[in-house]
Amino acid sequence: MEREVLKLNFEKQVKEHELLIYKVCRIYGKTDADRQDIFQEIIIQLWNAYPKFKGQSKFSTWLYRVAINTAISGLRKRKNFIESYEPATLPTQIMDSNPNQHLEEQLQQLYTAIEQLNEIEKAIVMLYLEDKTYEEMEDILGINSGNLRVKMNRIKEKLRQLTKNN
Amino acid sequence: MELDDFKQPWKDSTEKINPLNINIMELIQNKSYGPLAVLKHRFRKQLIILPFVMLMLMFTLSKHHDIFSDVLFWCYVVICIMMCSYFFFSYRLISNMQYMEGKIKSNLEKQVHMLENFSKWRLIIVRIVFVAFIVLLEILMHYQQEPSLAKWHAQPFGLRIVCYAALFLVFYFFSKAAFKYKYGKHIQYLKSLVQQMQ
Repeated sequence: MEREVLKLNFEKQVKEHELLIYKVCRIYGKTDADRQDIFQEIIIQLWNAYPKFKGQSKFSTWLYRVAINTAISGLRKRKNFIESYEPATLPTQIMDSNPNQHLEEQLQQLYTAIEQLNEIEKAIVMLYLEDKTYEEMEDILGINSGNLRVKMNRIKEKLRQLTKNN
Repeated sequence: MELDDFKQPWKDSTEKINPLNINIMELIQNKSYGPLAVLKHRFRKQLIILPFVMLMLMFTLSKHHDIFSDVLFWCYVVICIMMCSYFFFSYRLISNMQYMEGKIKSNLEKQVHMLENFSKWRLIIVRIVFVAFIVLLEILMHYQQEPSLAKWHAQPFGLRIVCYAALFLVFYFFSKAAFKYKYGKHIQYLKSLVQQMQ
């Protein structure tokens, strides 16, 4: 009974924050299959960690931590670990349903540039685009806000160069 | 184009996604196939199988001769217990590594620390077991005449020592290389992530 309630709460909260997971998948996954793989692993890791979530931080902060940890620390399936699962149950076109051509091009340009950043820089950019404050970013990443500001300036410069070259 | 210019397109792009009908409840029923989950599953399986094999062997051997006075048998029991302990601690380590709701940086540092400690102790223990096995082989001939080891014990002591030393050297480098192959790359990768956060 208690477990059922836990499951229902989990489903409700994850559904409310589904977009955050898509964004992490979009940033870290190169192909659709890769994104599906990350998505599934994040959900499983979230569920495993959920009983220990005591609400000491915001749900979204906790979710970002687990999702980014899963995406970067090798907890998800590597290519040689791939086994079959139900593709129909997973999103295939994550964030690709935009009808605006110009916007699409801009975003594509951005994604191409972001792909060339390292794993940590990708996380910083994603949180920045999400309009997180440096304090919130510090709470998720564990990098102090002063250091984050410096990193952010370097990343902006790097992206400027990358988009110029592309 | 400046990164700040992308904030709105980024926001718009995600807002315009149609709600996808993903069954979260169905997804959580799936098994994780990540490297850590695979490793954890392997350790758990070995933890279950090993005592079972030990009991089976004990039962089979006890039918043929008095195993309780057999030194080799007791060595086998000790090795099995040590292996079970190893699998248990490995299993616990992987479980702890999977628990990752902390800040990204501290989580990565924790993982590096755990894996490096695990690596250090594993190599020490494996080498101690190997040396203990050599010592046992030498001691055994004074207490119990093993027909299968008679030929080996008939060799000159000096030759045996040289062979043990050579074997130990091969084993030393092999165990180091095997661990590096299994975990080394992952530790290096985690370290590079921590480095990126400095």
